[in-house]
Amino acid sequence: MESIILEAKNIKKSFGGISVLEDVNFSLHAGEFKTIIGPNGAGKTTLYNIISGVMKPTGGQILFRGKDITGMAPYKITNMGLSRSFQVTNLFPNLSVHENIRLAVQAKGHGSFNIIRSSSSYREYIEKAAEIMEMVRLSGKGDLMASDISHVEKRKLELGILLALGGDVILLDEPTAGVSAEEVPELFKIIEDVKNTKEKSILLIEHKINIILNISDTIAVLQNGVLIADDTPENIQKNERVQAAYFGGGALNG
Amino acid sequence: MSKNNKLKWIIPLVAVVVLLVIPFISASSYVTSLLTSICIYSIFAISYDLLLGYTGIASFGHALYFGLGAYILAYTTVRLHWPVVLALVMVLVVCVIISFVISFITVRVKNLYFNMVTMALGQLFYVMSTKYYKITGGDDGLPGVKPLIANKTGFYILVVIILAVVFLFCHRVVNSPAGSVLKAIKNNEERTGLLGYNVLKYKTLIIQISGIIAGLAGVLYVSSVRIAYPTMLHSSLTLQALFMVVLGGTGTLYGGVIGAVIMKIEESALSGITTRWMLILGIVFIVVILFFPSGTAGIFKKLASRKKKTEQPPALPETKP
Repeated sequence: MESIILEAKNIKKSFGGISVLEDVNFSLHAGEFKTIIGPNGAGKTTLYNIISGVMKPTGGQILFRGKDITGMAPYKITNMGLSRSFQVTNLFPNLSVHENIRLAVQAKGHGSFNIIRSSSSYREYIEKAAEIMEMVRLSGKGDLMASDISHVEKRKLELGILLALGGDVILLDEPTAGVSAEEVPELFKIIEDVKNTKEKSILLIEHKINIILNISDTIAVLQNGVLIADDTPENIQKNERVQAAYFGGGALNG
Repeated sequence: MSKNNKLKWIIPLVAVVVLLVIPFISASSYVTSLLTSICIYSIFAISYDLLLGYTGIASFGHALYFGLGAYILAYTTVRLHWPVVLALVMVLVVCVIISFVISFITVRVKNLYFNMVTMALGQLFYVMSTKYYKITGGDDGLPGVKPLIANKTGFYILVVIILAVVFLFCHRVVNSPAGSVLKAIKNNEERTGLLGYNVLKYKTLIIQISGIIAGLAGVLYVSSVRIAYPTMLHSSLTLQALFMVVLGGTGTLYGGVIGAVIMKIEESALSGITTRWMLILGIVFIVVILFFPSGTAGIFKKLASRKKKTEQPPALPETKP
């Protein structure tokens, strides 16, 4: 395993008197694929909101490449190379699929503030967008409005936007939420492709246990705001505390 | 360039040519001044569409820039006897500074709060114009403005050309990379930030561009009516722009022009018959909101897409196993 790229140190978050996260510590190594599991309300999405800058933690630090990014504006964190997806589809509904992705490609490039040149003259962005659309299996859908495509296509677009941003660390928040069982493998195929490029460090929130046991390098278990385990899939399966807390003591067969 | 793209430019081109030819066909100076007023309001409405239609922010204090343009031109040329060119530079400088200050304050608040703060700042200038009698002439206004071009037809042609240039410029802006970001902000502001765009920077940019264009409209207006008066700063003028853009179709640019045409022609036709012409406009507005939420432009678009659908080849018959 290489060096640590993302680190959470004693992250605390409470809303009013309710504590949602209690001293969460974990680290993501460069190139690692870590999945965070935990029952609904365990604080997984809150943790993402804190890492991506959408929320400020009540206490603790987020370090990205050793630099403290706690409470930084979300756009700055994205520009540093850390980007996230959303559990609830969060797209630009009245823009085309192509525009959704091109905007993400353009965000990293030059000329975003140009008000005179036509955006169709930026060939490199258009080509890159086409490449991403192929990667997430949306080729041929480019001209459709994001609001007009099917749910699973929206999830693919969400992934596409994330990849187009070109960050080194990507945070996936239930990429298969609301997707029918037959369509789940297709989405995971895309995620596996991304993993296989070995260019990204990936943090994933997901419930589909049998799939994540295969794809993850490590699995972290969050329960009631406490990280109760963070280990390899084999050890997690053996961990009694995890079995008791998350799987109700039953065998972990998915 | 596809055939469709070429076709897109024919309509505005024809419109400009028709506008330029009309005063030479009809000698009526009434028609010329009505068209002048329509074109100036179109410029103002287009500047408003950049905010409302493309960025999704509804300013209720947009008349501020219109009034600033008008008052600065009037004050510097009438009271200070500055040459027109210097007065225009002054308008530009003040619009840039004021729009920057105002956007600095307002982009930090969202939705209703944005509307309220822009309205408060706009009305502040309106009240100031009625109180600082020595500078603004109070409710009497600042009369005696010389038109940019003395000849009425000549001035009208200047206005048409400026309208065409403004339209073209705004068309470039909304189709540029920065324009895409504005549309993204309208669609989903939070996500735009998460893509790595500094949303405040883009909002400031468009508020400034839009403010400068509105200031230009104010300059042309004061130059055609030859007097600057407080209503030019009033929020009711902003509402007129809002009305025109919604009536014509938001996020289209030409919607503002259509709205200005409908509203000004209606005004001039009805105000002779009844003083309650605003009431009729109000009813039209309600009907548009209820039945054509994307404005007149939306009706055209709907017709065009229906035509396209019927032109498509019939779907292949399903092969039965």
